[in-house]
Amino acid sequence: MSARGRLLGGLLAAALVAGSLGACSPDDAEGGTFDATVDPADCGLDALAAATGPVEITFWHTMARSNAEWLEAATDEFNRSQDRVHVALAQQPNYQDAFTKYKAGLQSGDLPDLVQMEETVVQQMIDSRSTIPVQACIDAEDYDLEPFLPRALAYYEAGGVQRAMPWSISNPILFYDRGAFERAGLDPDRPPQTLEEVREYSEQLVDAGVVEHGISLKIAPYIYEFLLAKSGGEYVNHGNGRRARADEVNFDSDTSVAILRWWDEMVSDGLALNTGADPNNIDHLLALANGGAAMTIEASGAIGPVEAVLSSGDFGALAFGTGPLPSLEGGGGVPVGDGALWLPKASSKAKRAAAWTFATFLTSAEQQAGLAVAGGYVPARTDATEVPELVAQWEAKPFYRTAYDQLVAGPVDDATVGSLIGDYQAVRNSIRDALIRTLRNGDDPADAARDAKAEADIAVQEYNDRVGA
Amino acid sequence: MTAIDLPPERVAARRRNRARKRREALLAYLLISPALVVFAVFVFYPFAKNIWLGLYRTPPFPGLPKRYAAYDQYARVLTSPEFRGSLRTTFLFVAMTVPTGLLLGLLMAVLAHQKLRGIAIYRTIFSSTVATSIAVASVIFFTLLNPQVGLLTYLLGREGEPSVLDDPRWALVAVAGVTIWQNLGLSFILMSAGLQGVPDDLLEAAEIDGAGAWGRFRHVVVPLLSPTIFFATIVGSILAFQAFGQIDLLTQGGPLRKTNVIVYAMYDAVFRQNNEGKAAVLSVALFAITLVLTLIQLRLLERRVTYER
Amino acid sequence: MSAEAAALDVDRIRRRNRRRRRAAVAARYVLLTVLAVIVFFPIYVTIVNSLLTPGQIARRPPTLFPTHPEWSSYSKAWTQGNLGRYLLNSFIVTTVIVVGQVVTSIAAGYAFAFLEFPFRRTIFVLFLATMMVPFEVTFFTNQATVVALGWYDTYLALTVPFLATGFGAFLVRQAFLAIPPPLRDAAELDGAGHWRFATKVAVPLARPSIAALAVFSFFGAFNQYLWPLIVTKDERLRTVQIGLRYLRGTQIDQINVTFAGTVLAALPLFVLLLLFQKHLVRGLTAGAVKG
Repeated sequence: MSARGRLLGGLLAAALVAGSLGACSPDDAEGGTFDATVDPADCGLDALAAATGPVEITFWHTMARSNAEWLEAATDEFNRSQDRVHVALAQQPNYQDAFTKYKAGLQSGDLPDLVQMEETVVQQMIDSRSTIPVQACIDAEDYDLEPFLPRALAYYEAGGVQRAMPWSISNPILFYDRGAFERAGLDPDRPPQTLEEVREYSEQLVDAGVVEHGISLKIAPYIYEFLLAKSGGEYVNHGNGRRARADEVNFDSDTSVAILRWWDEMVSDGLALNTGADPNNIDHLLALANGGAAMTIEASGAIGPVEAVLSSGDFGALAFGTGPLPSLEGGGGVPVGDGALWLPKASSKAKRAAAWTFATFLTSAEQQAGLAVAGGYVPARTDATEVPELVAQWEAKPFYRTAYDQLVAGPVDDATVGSLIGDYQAVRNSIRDALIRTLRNGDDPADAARDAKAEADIAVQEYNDRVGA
Repeated sequence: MTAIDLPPERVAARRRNRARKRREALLAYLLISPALVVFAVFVFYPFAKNIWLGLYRTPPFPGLPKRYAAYDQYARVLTSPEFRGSLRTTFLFVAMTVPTGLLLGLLMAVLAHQKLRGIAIYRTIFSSTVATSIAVASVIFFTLLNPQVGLLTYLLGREGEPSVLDDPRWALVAVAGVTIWQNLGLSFILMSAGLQGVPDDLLEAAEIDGAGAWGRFRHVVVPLLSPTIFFATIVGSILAFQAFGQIDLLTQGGPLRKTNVIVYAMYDAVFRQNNEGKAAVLSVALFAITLVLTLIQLRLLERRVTYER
Repeated sequence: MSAEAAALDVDRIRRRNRRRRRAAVAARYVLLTVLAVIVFFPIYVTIVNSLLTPGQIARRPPTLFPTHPEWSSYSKAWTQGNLGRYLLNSFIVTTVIVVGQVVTSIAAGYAFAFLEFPFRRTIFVLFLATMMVPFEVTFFTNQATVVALGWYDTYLALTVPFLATGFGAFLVRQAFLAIPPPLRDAAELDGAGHWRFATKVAVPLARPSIAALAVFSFFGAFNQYLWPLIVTKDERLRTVQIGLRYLRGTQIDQINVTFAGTVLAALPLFVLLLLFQKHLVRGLTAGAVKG
């Protein structure tokens, strides 16, 4: 080999060595899975106290329509009630866009002082190192977390540090047509508790000719996720991503496959109506109205709109009931879904403290009760249930409290606290694909689960690698 | 400065010549510089940058450091099942759209080449799709395939069922169909232009010799049209490899990634996954494929030119 | 055989041949019509449905002809769908790109064809090389460049990257080289400078190729999809192709508006096609037939 060839070869070898040295090692100097540094001074309460005029902050939220109106009223009330903090609202079209905008803001500097994010981005928000964990403010102020529901807090805690405050939480529940139950000879006050019961009820409903299908189900990954959690299954490994960073999914666990198989058999036996994978489609709700099905699963936040549409007379007065999400064996607990409040680091210290002040306002008992009444959300704290507004609503319409009861009941463990995943969306897409393969292509659930797991594992590990493990 | 001294007029002339040449060169550089600047910034620089980007793992968030991964990322992406799937999908797509489009274009061109009454109307209709963009064609077919009210859904007998575009078995075929339709105008025009180059007396001679329509086609038209056909195949393939708009409008890479062609995978990697490193690797792969196809075309062109000579 | 019988035979043969020919011609018309229907059917349905009400569109069996055309869908597409603005943007952007490409191609083509300068060969190869790097390879890096330049969401981003094209320079150079050298020498002898030569001789003679380039550029620029998608966000700047993306997502009760929007988006190119078919064909086939 020529001298030049040897030189090139040497350079190549050096490059390869350098490249492999850059590869990921499990315990980086960057602090492992969860950066656990908490400094109360980061909260900036002193700076806020020292501020001469009102501190202006912006809050990016994703409330829409009537919920947005409620938020505006609440914000006005907050602004009027004191003069140290002034909040300006910036409505975002949806969680996806808000997160995209936030990421873009990390580069451009266009960031809010308080932001509402959905539950799937917790790991990413931590990895972005762009927020102050609310623990800093909790420690600084000695904020009382006692009234908060344990699982609501636990979802947003990682490595022993509270990262965000649960705010506009919800979870999926069972909706059903009481009239249809009665006509089929079922007790309208006793909704099915286990997946097996859902099947039995459906058989009875269909046999009685009351509806075409027992239950209508959208191919929505979050339904699977909550069924899994309620049945005690973990979505990903390492304690649902809570003990250490998850690097594999658990689609192929017995619990998971059992759920997929139940879903598959319900659809193929004609007991369940599959309304497809389009996230914007509401056919599963319409099915309740037009005799397509007598039961469906939907997020509790939908109660308001559902009630409005179904009893508006357009579909004949439909008396509907709600029940807890069924699970494999009955019982179990659900994690929280929907929105939490985060404090971006980019803000000045005074603004951080101001944002925290507003956050404590929004998560106070009165405001949580107000949000629950206005939007069907679940209050994140027990003392909210004593606020007269909420008490009155729950008395008049007991089905509004199903989601809350469901959040209170059940154990607090890795399954029910919810999963931490870096590339959550990819994992969701894989489960969605598994459902499509099972329900539409007729694949065996175990095989579909295994194929989906192979895809999802790659995505999860890819994210971990990109983030520096 | 030559060894022999020239008479002063010649020296002056030479100096004027050099000055003129310099002015000419300056003018030339002036004339080509706008284009060169555009190319430098928007063609050469990104091309080089892509290769470099492929060497780094992009963090999911800006502000975190890029991690140097040498060939690791290239190897990882190029052997990943997602890339293999994309490649397969894209090749399938090209295989479905290019030959079909070409054959149909050829058929229409041959049929419209005759001197029949009203043939001009047919010619206009056949070339009409060249006025549709891929976005126009995609929106038309997207609406025609609407599961509730789409006319094509009705004609296919699929009313009430999920859309063809949502069906993992047929999604790619549907997208290919839309592409073929949209390309028919261009294909027809290309083949027609090629047919102009087939001398009528050759065709007449073949007819007199007893060759039927098919025989004339096979032995006269096709050989003379082969350069056009080769050109259309290569250019068509290159363009088909770059397909994006119809995927974005019709299926967004799904269902089950069955329509995740390379360019869409790149778009998804950059704008959905924030993974520029991965997109860069994909772009280099796409460039390599395009390069191979272009070189084939150049080689064929060379051969044809020498053959003709 | 008698002369009479032979004459009858010939007659019969002639009639049979005429029948055969008519059948062949008829068969050709049938084939032509079948293909024409396949090609034109989607366009026909689009135009028809744009004039129906959503209720009529949903009716089965389908309505094939608008007996009471509803033109309101067009005005809705124009105002609600904002297609007027989008078309304007498309025209602005396309015109700038076409002018840019034509001007830079003429300039570069002139330099390559008529001027001598160092590295001419190499630079020309560079120009040709740009044709080998398809835009889809560099789009996301270009988007980052555009953002870094502060051009995101501006007309600059939509136009500047496309102001030059290697294909155009190649085409025009080709056309210039085809000008007979005697003409060139004559101009030089007349003392004509480059400008006079270019404007009075070269460009006019190369007009067919330049026109072809212009039409070809127009189609390309007007139909761009990926680039406008990633460098604009604001409705003010949206081009009509991206506008279609939003129109596609409308509800079923606005489906006639979607169709109307599609017609409006395709109309400019249809008009161009009818007016400049010859030039378009030339532009599209440059390099295909002659090489």
